[in-house]
Amino acid sequence: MQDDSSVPVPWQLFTFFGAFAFINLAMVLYIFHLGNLIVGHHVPQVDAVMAAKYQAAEAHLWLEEFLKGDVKESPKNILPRMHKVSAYLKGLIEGGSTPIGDFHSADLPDLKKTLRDTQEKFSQLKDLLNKRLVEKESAGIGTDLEQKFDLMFRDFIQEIDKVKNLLLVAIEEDISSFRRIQGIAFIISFLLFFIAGVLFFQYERNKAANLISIQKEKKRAETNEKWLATCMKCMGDGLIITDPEGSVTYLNPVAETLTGWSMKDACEKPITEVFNIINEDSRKPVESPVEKVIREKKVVGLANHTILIAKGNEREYAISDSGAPILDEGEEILGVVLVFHDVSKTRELEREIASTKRYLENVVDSMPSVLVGVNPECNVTQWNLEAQKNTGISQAEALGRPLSEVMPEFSLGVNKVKEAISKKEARKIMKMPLKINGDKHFSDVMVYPLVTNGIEGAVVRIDDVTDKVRLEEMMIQTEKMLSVGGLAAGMAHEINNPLGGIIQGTQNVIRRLSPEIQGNSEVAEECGTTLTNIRAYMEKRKILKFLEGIRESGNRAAKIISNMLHFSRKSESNMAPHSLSRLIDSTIELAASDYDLKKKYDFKHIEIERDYDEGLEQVPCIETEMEQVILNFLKNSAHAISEKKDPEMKPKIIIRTRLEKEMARIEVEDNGCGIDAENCRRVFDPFFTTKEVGIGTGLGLSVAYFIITTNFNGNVEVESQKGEGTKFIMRIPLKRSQV
Amino acid sequence: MSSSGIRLLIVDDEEMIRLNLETYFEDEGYEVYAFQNAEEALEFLKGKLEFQVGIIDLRLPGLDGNALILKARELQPGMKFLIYTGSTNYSIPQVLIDMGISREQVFIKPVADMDILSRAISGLLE
Repeated sequence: MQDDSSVPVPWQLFTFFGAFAFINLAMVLYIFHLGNLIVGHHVPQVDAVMAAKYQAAEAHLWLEEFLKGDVKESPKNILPRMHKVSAYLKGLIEGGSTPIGDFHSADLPDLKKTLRDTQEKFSQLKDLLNKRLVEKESAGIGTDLEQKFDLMFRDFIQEIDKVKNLLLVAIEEDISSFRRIQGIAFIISFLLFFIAGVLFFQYERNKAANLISIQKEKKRAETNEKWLATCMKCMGDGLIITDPEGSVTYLNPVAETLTGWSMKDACEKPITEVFNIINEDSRKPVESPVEKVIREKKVVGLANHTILIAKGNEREYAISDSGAPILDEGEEILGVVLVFHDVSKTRELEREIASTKRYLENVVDSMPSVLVGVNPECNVTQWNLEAQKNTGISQAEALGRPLSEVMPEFSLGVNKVKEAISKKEARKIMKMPLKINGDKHFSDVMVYPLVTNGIEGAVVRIDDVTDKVRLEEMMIQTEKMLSVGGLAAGMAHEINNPLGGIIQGTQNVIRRLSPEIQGNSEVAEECGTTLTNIRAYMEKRKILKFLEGIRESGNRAAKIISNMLHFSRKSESNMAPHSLSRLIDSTIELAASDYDLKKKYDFKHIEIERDYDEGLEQVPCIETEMEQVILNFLKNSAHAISEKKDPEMKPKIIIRTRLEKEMARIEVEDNGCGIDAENCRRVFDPFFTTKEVGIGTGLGLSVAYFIITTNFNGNVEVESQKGEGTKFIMRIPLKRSQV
Repeated sequence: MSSSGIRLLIVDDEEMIRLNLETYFEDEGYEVYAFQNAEEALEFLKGKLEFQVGIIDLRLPGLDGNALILKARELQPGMKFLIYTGSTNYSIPQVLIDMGISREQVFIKPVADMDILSRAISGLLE
């Protein structure tokens, strides 16, 4: 990066220039060698041939002089020259170092042969010369020998010229080959130079291009660096960079703010000092993510609920962070980047949401209604406390399960829930019968579909309205009775007077026919008859019986009116505490002696079981009314028992008293014929009776009901199984204040 | 128990009731005087005859039974009374209670058997 202006010289270039220099040098050497060859080879040989020719010619000359008689000349001048010629020739043929210089041996075949011929001629010439010298001593000039010598000499010269010409031709060839080599060398040189130029151009161009790209790269790196620096500075998250040992090397401004450390102070400090974090709940130090990153060499997130303590413990921030290693190519850690941000607000929001959720849950749980949330598949999503209480199924158990499974008796409602969700309209089921903890209850069910925010499902609200339903029933009952009572009150006076006329008139008629009344006989005799006759007639014509019938019918009508009047009369405030057990005992006694009971039912054979709560003594009531109530129930039970035609059955009535939450509970239970569900609802209706006409007035239970509910502020229920028996339960408040 | 010598006043506007009571008590041996309204009865009480008992209906034309009893007591302080009424919701006014009239002296019409009234009178006179 530092030496970025130079481009590495390509090795091809080096190689090429090496080869280029070598080839050129080789060529120069070769040319030099050729020159050398020309100058040092054939040229000295030419010199030597010329020198041999010269010496031979000189020797010839000297010989002729000598032979002419120039005695001054001695053969001593001739012979050395001949030797020299012979040495030249030998040197030319054999090469090597000779007294007359260094020669290369004759390398050309023609040359060698010619030289040998020359040597041959010269040797003959030498022999001839020696002969002439010897003859000179003995004879004169002009012999045949002389001519012969001359011829020989001429041959020799011709021969030596031939050698010379051969050499000259060789020199000529040398030169032309030299020229040729020179030309080739030039061309090669040129080519090489051209290639070198091209390569060099290429190299320069590459270098320039490289330079540009390097500059670009450099600029880009600079931009990147700036960009990165700006990013790190401007980013909303805190950023700390450490070296591989975990010492801080960089903090961005946000990190400076959050940690309270300036970049200057923090540098070189261990990360644990600068980035001091603890667990939100335990407030114990948490392992620095940097250490973890260094150890695991991978990105790690911070555990939730971490708090960063700023320098000097001045401030705390809830943070969330993550650390990442900076790795080189060899997976070695170069440093660690730690990014974190202040989540105090988020955490606060989370807490707020959690507390809102808790608040809402509390609200939902404190509702007295059963609240069940369901999704479109009718699986439970919400299960409040009341739901848990009523079903005995905990929230954890109920969540996610189908509604029909956790509330099997609610199966009727499931369709309504689905309907509410699909139609997006609320649905109601009023007074739905539900069993809660085994008891029969009535519930109002409201299904509200969830229509906001894309949440699908519904909320089912179930209110136990059993008490309300009972109260309503009671009110309806009371209303019925009051209307009967109002009617009765209105007509009682008008009916009672004529009834009085009928009943008392009949009584007088019967009395006036009776022999017991003193005046009757006298008046009969005054009329010319006897009371006995009159009575006999009456008996015969059943007139007395009719009269008795009129009287009884009148009495019965009067009794009905009197019973009806109970409904109109709010009893006077002569309620007083009475011993319930004593009251019941006396009523049972009364029942046993009751004419009607004795006559119609076999009351004596009914076993009466008394089960009194000893804790229950004084109960505020009106004695006579209480007696009437119990008597009416006993009569009803006796009737129910007589209706059950089962000889195996042992007739039994159980009277139970119990103290119950400021109420006296009185039960009259029989094992009679029972009442079916339909009749159970109507059993307290005035004039409702299952007895044969003329036997029941249909008022007994109504009157009992009315007295208890209206006069004693209590309530009455009936529980019955057809064929099994009936239980009447009445409750009377022990405190009179409840009006 | 002898009923002879007992003078009984009956006031009732309903003729049949009056006649029945009159007949019954006469047969029982009482000396009975029956009137259909309070005014006539009071007029009679002002006379010399002393009554021991009165059976008084409440709803009467003119003066009602309560007023009649008050006035009759003024006229004949020793007289006892039975109230015999068709008003089922009758309650005894305080003035009558002060006079010593109790619930046992009140009978709602119709009594099934007039012996009940006769027994009540015997009880009162004892």
